[in-house]
Amino acid sequence: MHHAVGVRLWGWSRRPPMHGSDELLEALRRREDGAFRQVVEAEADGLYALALGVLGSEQDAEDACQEVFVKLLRAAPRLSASTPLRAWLRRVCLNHCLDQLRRRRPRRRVELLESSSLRSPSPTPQDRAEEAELQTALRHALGELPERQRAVFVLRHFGDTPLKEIAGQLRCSEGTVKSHLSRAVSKLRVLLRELREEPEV
Amino acid sequence: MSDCDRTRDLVGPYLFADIQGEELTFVESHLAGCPACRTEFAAVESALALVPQDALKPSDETRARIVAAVSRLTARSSRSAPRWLLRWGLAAAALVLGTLVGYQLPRGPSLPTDTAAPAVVSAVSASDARPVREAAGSHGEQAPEEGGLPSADGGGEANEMIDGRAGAAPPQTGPPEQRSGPDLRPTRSLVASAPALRAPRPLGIDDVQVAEAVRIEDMR
Repeated sequence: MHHAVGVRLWGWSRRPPMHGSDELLEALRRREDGAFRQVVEAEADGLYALALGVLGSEQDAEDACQEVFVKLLRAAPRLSASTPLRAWLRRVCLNHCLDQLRRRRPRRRVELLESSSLRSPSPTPQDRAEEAELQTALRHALGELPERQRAVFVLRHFGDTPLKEIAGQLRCSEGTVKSHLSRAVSKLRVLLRELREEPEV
Repeated sequence: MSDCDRTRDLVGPYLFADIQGEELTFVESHLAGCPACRTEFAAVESALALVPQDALKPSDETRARIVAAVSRLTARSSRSAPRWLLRWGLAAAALVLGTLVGYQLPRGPSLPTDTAAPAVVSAVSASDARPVREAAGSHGEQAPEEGGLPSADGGGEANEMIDGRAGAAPPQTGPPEQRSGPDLRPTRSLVASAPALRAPRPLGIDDVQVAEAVRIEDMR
């Protein structure tokens, strides 16, 4: 039983188009720790990237992930067997993040510049430092984008989310999503070039 | 909206391969004839190439913290006891039940044997059970077996002892050989030395259910 769920989940987490995983939901409904843990393991990275991209703060992203998983656990009995779990999780996560941003106004820019290299110890300093630098630059750039553009870009680029789903998440048309995405990438191009030319900023 | 504006408004979906048909044809034919838009598209593409898809992935430490925190929350919120606890709890209950049934038998004449059968058979050896039931009629309720020691006495000997002891002083004051009496104790009991558990108690319907439950559990 556990094995069946595991195998299914693996396949599911590697394939971008999601299918309703009724067995997994059934296992979640029964509050099987194994099943829930596997969802967490499979989805944590994607949700974290989404939350970090939108919120810009590692601590907030971590909190958001926990929040989303707790909500999943609570909602599992009410989800239908055909619920596409990944899409459902992204939606819950995005809603949470946008609510957080709304609550957070006025925006604290300082948080977006928070350096990950200061917070996480790096076992391989060279690689980690470069990675951290990129992360910081990227988060800074993302922080410059209006939140809807940012959400669209993060969902599309880091989450590999189909435009149609993004439109549903943001309750707007696909045309609007396309516009947001184009503006986001054009602006990022400029911001990232600036950051590369002036790495100390 | 000029053609350039319209094309640049599709740069994102174009690079992410999210447009087809008429839109795609439009963008491609415009790019073919517009060096400025081509340059812009190329610049955006190379900027995006700098941003790996996993650029925002959590560090191992962060990831572990998330998994651990969520696991803690599930452990706290799970309402039912773990399965092993239920299983062993039922097993312990059945053991106690078996013991009690073993004691109940001699002095509970009204106890239907078939009700107690499954538990008794497992808890009391056959050689002990037979003489005990014979003695019950004459013996009645008044002879508690406090202090008795497990004995390997044969069935016939045990019967004599019961008859000789009927109406005599309480067993704990009597001589050791009388006190030992017939071995009414379930031979495999783990709780025989706990006095509270040895008090006679009617076999409730719940007990039967527990016994049934543990049976079913064990079958799995």
